[in-house]
Amino acid sequence: MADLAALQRAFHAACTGAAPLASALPLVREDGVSPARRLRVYAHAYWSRIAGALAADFPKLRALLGAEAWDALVLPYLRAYPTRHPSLREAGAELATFFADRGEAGHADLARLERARTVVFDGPDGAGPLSRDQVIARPPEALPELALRLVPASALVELSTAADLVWDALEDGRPPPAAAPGPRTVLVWRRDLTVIHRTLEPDEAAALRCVQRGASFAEVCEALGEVLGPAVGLPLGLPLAPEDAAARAAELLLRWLDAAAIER
Amino acid sequence: MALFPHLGHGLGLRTQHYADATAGAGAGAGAGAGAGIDWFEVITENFLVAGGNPRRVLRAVRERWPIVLHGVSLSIGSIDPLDEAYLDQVAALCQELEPALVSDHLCWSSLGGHTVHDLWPLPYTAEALAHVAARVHRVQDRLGRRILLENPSSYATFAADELGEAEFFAELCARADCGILLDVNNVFVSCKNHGWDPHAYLAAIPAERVGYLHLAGHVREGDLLIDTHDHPVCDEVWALYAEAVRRFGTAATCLERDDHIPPLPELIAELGRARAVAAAQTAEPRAAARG
Repeated sequence: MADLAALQRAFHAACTGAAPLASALPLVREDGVSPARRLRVYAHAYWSRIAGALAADFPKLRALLGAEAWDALVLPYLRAYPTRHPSLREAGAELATFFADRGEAGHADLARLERARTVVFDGPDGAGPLSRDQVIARPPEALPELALRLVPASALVELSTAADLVWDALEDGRPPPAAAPGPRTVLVWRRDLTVIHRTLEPDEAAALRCVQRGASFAEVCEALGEVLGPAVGLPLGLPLAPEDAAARAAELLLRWLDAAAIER
Repeated sequence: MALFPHLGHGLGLRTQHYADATAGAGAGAGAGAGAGIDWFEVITENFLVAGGNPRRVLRAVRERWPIVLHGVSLSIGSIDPLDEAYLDQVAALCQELEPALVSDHLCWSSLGGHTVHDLWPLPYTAEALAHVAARVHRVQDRLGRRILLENPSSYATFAADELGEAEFFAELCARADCGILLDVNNVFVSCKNHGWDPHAYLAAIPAERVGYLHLAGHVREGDLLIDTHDHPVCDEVWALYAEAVRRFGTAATCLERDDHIPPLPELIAELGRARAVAAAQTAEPRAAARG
């Protein structure tokens, strides 16, 4: 007679596909229905419940791959990255890694973007966004010391392909383009209750990485100066003139404030 | 004195009804007396998140209604250690919401740290009983309150079984001082799937330990009934519910729907049927309680 531990190990292995279903048949009573039929209910439910949750959290990736290919990937994914969290919300936490392991950079990036949107959706509430009026109300001489932080429900997503354009096309019902290689950074944030994302220009991405670490406005200006130096018509290799960096930083700051992306 | 509050007739809160619920649609006239929704049951794991809309909705609903926390991941029967991080989160949610009741399932759903997100059946053995009872004690100590465990719909029983499910529940309640969330639909489904007698099942459940009842729909798939929560309650389950109310009296009732979810008024109408069935039973002389 199997003890509790032995029974759970055998049942788990059979119903997750780690062992043949037949290996657990002797454990199960028949009572008018074959033990194999009974175990198949659990084996199917294990797969289908998690597959359903993944489909809900990665609708664009599923649309890109097609339902049949998507379904075929769920069990290999679950074998590679078994779910370890009490909430189904975390079932897709390693999906981007799974695709990266397979060398599918475009799929990994799209998974990364969709996962970030899920995480931001119910990420922490903050004190509220900083407004343009609140910044204007401060003395001008205090602006350099203004501490900038992204709202807590936000993420900077680093992509190696144009998966953001694939997302846009699928959202609009257009045929998705091939995910061309090249680094891109996407800001995902929650405004009120709505999750938004926007692809950043390279200098804006550098500035927001600085903000993400916690920076003053002056430090953002400095970071922009380092990034923009070679690209704005100044002699190659020289840093951006400080007043130009400050102007660009001010432009970006207003953009972030109007987007409700900076925490009060 | 009753072990559990009489909450009346409630609904399982689902995302499709968030807007209606936050607007106060279906609010009854008070616990146990309402014509609408007396309380909401919420799935604990859906609210173990930091913020955003789920937490906003939860706060809004809690302002207006009593809430019952209903978990699916306690894995009370697993040989794995209890998930302390999960218990910490549930304890924090209890502190924040002051739920009227806290429930989960008599099942196991994890092994070796792997969470399967399903309600797998336990063997009803003396060993499992001792194991589960000890863990219920620890959970109740951690949460500082009595918990209720639900009978799952099951599709397999084990050659090792030494007790019936209802007898297992009765003994567990005696040992661990916990309560029972009796899912009437699950009684029906499991009895059909295993050839058990649903009347004997209800008779073997200790009436004073039943904190609330669940109602839901199921489907037949060939030779088994499957607990899908995607249909209205069927007539046979209504009949069993009437019998349960006669036996368990004022236990609260929750209607669950997880798929093919209709507009809220439709569910409120179905809840009204539950209220009418319960009223008809309690208006009649109580049958002699068995067990």
